[in-house]
Amino acid sequence: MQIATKPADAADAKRQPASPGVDKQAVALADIASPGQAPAAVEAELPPPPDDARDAPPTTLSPWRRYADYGELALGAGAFVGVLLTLWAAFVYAPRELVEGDVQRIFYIHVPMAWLAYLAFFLVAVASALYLWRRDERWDWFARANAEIGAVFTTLVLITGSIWGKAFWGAWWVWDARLTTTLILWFVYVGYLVLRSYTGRTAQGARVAAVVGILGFVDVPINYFAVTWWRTLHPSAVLPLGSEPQLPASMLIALMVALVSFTLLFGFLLLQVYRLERTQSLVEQLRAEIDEED
Amino acid sequence: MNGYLIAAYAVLWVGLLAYVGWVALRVRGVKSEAETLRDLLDDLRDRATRARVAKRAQVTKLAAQAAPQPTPQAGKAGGQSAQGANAPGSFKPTKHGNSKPAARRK
Repeated sequence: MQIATKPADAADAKRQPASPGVDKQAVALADIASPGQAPAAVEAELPPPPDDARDAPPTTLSPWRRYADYGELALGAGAFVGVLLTLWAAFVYAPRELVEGDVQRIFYIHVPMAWLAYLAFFLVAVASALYLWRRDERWDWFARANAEIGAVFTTLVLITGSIWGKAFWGAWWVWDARLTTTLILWFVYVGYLVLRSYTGRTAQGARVAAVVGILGFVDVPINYFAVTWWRTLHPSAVLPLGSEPQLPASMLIALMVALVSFTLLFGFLLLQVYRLERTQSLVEQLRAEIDEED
Repeated sequence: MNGYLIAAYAVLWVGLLAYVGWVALRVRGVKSEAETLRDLLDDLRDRATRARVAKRAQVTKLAAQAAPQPTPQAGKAGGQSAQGANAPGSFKPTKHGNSKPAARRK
C-alpha cells in the first residue's frame, strides 16, 4: 500500500481541471471525503473561499443603525449649537449682576456643570446597583462612562468655582462646607476610576467598583444640602427644591439655555465613552480568544 | 471684561475640548486595535482549520486506499462557511460569573 508523503500533491494530481458546472471545491471534497462520510461534514471544515465577500461591509444598514447614527450626529450638532447659544446667553442676553458684576457670569457654566456632575454620579449609582443585580457587563460600562464624565465635570466645577472665589472672596480656596464636600466627591470618583484601572476588566473589580459607586453617591445629597445645613460662604441654591427661583427671569432663561446645552454635550460624551468601554471590552475578549487559539 | 471671567470660560472650553479630543483619540486607538486583533484571530482560526483539514485528509486517504474510489459529486456548489467571528454587530457582552467567554456566531 503506497502512502502519499505529500497529501497536497496527491490531491493536486487527482484533481480534474475545472469544467463548467463542476465546482473546484466539489472536486476537492471528493479527494478528502472518506467512504460514507457526508460531504457537508467535511465541507464545514473547509476554510471559506479566499474572496473579499466575507470582509465586505453589509450592503444595506439596518434602519435602527441608520437612525442611531443620525441621532448621534444630531446630538453632537445640538451640543455644538448649544455651546454657542450658551456663550450668547451668558455674555449678551443675561443682565449684569449688581453686586458681583461681570464675574457673576461664571455662574452660567459653573452651575450646569455641577448639576450634570450630580446626574452623572446618580447614574453611576443606578448602573452599579443594576450591575450587582443582573451581572450584565453593559451596566458596568455605563457606570464607568458616567464616572469618567462626572469626574471631568467636577474638576471643571472646582476650577471655575475657584476662579470665581478668587474674584469675589479674594481667595482661591476656603474650607467651606460646599467646597469641601465637592472636593470629597471629586476624590471619591477619581478613586473609583483609579480602582477600575488597577483591577482591570475583571468581574471582581467591577463588583468592588459598583459598591464604591453606590456608596460614593451618599456624598451628593450632602454636597447639595451643605449650603442649607451649615453656615457657608458659598451662595445658597438659586433653584431651591420646593421654593420660588431666586433669580430674575432673564438670568433664569440664560441658566436654562446653558443647562440644556451642557446636557446635550453630556449625552454626546456619554455615548462616545460608553462605546469606548464597549470596544475595550471587545479587545479584551479578542485577546482572551487569541490566547486560547495559541 | 473681567479677566477672571475670561479665564474661567477659557479653562472650561479648553478643558472640554481637550477631553473630547482625548476621548476621540482613545476611540480611534481602540478601534484599530480591535480590527487588528480580529484579523489576527481570523488568521489563527483559518490556520488551525487548514491544519485540521490537512491532517484529516491524510488520515482518510490512508483509510480510503483499500476502499473503492467514490464517484465525484458534480454540481454541488461549495457553500461558504458562515461569516467570520466577530463580524460587525456580532459582539455580545458577557454575564459575569461564567468562566467561558461569550459564545460567538460562526
